[in-house]
Amino acid sequence: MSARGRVAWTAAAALAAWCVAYVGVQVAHLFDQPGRHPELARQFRPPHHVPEHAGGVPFRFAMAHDVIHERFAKHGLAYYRERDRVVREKLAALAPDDPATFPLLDDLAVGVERLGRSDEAASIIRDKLARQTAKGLGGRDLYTSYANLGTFLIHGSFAQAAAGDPAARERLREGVGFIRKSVEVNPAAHFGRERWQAAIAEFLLAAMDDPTLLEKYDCVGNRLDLPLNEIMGDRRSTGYGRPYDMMFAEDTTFQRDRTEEGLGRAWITKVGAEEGWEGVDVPSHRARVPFDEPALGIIGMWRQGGGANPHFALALGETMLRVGQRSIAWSAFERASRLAGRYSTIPEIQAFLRAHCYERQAEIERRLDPNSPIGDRLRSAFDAELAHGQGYQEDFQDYEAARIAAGGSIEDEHFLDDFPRRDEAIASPSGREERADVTLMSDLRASVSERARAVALFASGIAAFATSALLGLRPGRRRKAGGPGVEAMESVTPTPAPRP
Amino acid sequence: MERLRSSLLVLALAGLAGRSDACLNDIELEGHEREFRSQYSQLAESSEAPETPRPRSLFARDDVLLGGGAALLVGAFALASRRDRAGA
Repeated sequence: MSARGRVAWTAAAALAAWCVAYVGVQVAHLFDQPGRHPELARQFRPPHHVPEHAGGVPFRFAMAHDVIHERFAKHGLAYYRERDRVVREKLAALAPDDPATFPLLDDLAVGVERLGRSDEAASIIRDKLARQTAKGLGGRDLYTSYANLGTFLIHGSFAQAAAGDPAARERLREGVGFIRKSVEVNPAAHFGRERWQAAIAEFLLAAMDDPTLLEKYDCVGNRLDLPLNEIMGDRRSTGYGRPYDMMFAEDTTFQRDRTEEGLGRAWITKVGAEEGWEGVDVPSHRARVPFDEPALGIIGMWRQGGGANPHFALALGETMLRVGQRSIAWSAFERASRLAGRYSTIPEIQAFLRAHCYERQAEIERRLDPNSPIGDRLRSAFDAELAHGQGYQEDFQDYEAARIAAGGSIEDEHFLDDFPRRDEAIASPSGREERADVTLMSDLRASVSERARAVALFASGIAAFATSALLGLRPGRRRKAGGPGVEAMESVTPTPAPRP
Repeated sequence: MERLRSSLLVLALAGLAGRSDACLNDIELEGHEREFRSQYSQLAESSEAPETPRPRSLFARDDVLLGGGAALLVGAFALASRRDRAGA
């Protein structure tokens, strides 16, 4: 065969092998899933970094960790007593119908509430609301009145309502109604806290009629009776929850969403309102929601409201469990179990909460370390962390009391300047939990194509080399059998006979 | 007597029972929220990784395959041409 022929056959073999190998690799990866290739994952900011409302505060897991362990500054009674005195002085200097009294009345009422006098606080705001209405104010101008009055009514009536007092339950319902009004006039206020305040109050009202609800759901509708493997049932074999939906890497809209608003809130893992919730009378919360919404609401209420609460701790635990934050969930269950005495007025339901928290913790411990019991180590770490947070709060409140006793003004911007722990970062730092490691379908496809090209080129090389070698060997075999082959003979130029 | 004791227990526990604690709107709220936002946004900015570019390849051996394939192709065509020239 001529050189041109051998080259042509070699090229043809190379091309054929390239095509077969390329198509073969593509077909082999046709049903491949991005989730199977963590080595291709990119790091993104997770979708919960996009706040629910423009300009809102995005959720961080450290926030949940910090409220559970009381890692935030909190004013003490001495501060509120002093503020009560200062506000009353200011009010006394104003005419009763002066609009400048409205924010001061809020301050007065909140201070009175902080000092444990909810009924007096409600009375102050009822009076304020009447004056505002008389002045023709409405809509958003009434937001703080609605929110505060609703809160005071709920706080003031809750204990009696839980004990079965019908009048107290009516006041509690009235309080929920005011909270709903506050949401209507200012839905984006304070991380949507009022919305969750209304929902949680509605749930607790429903639980007063049917206490068994406290054994089925947390206050945002996460089922308590589901084992972990069922909770994680839709998490695509990751074995634990994630704060984002694993499907988003496979959705073609992902790229657009990501470009427009981070990863897009549509991909945040949803929690609450789980199976059977439709039968619970909680009109303010009917459907599953991105996990950061109730979490931020609870964190806000915990920090700026009445502080630690077993319902909040339980809901944070169940929520963190569903988004794969098992250590935070363990701590939340620990806190909830320690607050179980406030979970219900019924001792059996308090005992249920303790048992539930221990079961959840035991399951988390097994998953965190299947080979050795780590409960004691986690509990020691929790104790140390909680003591650190509570110690900071005590130091902060002691400092406030000492400064006030020494004649310091709470309105002085340098009031806290000499607080010895002022420069201490009480908030926890964020870490890897605020990253989303995601394998995109587009990356998988591009990578498979790269592999297909590499395999195809290698197969092409092998086929070409083998063809070339085989074609090269053929003439040699013919020569061995019977002298020069056809090609060799054709290539031999006849030499002239030697002259005698 | 037993019922009375039970009722007293319920009333005593009611005082301790969880309530729907909430946010309160006063002069401090704005400062609290500003501090809350700054605490966590600063920490987040310094510790969170930016989006990373796409990893280069799914398969670590791709370079070997590409190099080997290219060498074999060159060798194959060189072999064909060399034998032709040798024969000539």
